[in-house]
Amino acid sequence: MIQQGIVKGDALQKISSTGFIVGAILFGISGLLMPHANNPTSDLQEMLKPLGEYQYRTTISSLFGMIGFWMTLIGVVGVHRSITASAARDAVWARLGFYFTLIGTALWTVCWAMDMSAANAVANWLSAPIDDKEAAWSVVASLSAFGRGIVPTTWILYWLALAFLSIAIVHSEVYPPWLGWAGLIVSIPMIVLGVIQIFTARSITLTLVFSILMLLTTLWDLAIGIWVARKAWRITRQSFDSQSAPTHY
Amino acid sequence: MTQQSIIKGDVQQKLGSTGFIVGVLLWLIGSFFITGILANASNMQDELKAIGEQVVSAQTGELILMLNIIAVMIGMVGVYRSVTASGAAWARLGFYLFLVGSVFWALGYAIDVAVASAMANWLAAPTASKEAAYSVVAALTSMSRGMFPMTVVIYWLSLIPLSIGMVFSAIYPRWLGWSGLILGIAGLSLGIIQTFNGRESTFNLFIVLFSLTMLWFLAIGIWVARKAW
Repeated sequence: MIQQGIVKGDALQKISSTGFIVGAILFGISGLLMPHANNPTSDLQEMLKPLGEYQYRTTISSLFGMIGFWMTLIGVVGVHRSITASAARDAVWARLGFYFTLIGTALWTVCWAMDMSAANAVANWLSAPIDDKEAAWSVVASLSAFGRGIVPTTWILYWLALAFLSIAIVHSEVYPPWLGWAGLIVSIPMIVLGVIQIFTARSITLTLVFSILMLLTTLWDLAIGIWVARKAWRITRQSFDSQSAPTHY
Repeated sequence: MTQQSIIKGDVQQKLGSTGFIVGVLLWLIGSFFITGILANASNMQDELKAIGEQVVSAQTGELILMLNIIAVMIGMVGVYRSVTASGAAWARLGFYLFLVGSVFWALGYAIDVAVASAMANWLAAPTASKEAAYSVVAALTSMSRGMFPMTVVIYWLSLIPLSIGMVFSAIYPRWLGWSGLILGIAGLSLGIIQTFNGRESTFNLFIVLFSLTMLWFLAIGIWVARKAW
């Protein structure tokens, strides 16, 4: 099998580039909408309060984030399918990256669904009468405790997928190597952060580091989306001329 | 499409065999951590307490066991990609189910990490907050009660079509396929039983099943490694 590359007009690559770009935009909107505590705090109740105070903002932000990961998955399908030199190591890494992205996206979907549930539970806790506060808080605490386990697991698996894809991109002749190296540089610290987060409780510092790395991942998604779009959607001078040539009746 | 087989030097198969072998090694290391914690526990309550007291070891063990699932999945990609003609449909179906099973394992280990942390919080909580802290542990273990049998069902269910694919293919020795099929059926049955009875009463059986499955993965890993390397 030969290296497929990215052919102009290829429908899959057009969809893939759109997936990356729309995904990056949705991540941006999600990040801006997600409520957070105004002052740095290590108190769990203070950290979670804004989620319930702005319940609908949290839900919409989670929805955008969730769809963002689905759109990025569509983008990754394009990367996976563009690197097809089957006996070569780049195709193998791309394939592994794609399968792990599937798993990571499923875990992200659960994480975002948990965020929506948490927003609802925090809102119920905030509005509960004094007698019911403790019971309402136990629901929030349980959801938060589950998040304590699933969030680092998701980070490790999702960015492991990105690392595999980046290795494939570095080795392939389809994409510029800098895209692959950038992906590796973003994904390795995120995997390390996930491992640290397994052993330590949620904190503002870790959340801040995650936000920075997530922003870099979003920029990477945007960069690869634009790069693929320029290849897949590019209109050559010849095709432009043929489209805009005057018609003589 | 012709049967791909396993060609010497094939990167996919080299990675696949390494995945299986490393996965089994990770399972041994992870189990060492977990067994060390649970050695003196005689019931569920004792187990939870021991996990909370040695939270870092428990979380290290869970992390290593999760990496075991990742490594084995890399191995299974190799099996799926090697069966490309006779038995390919079964292998494909099995692989997709295996992906779902891996997601369930990741969720299961995520719950276990959370339980360890919640248990440590419970042990450290002042007397007045003990009850509230324990309610979190109870909620997480209830979640695990539902998740665990489903993981067993879907993971071992996936081995059935994968093994049928291996039996039909001319690539793997038939005994590997048949033994995988037996393991798959046994795991599926155990998962169904655990759905109704919980995991406590049949947990030793599960450990035997899991160990045999790991040996099966090791056998595939070694067999593929001998061909691919």
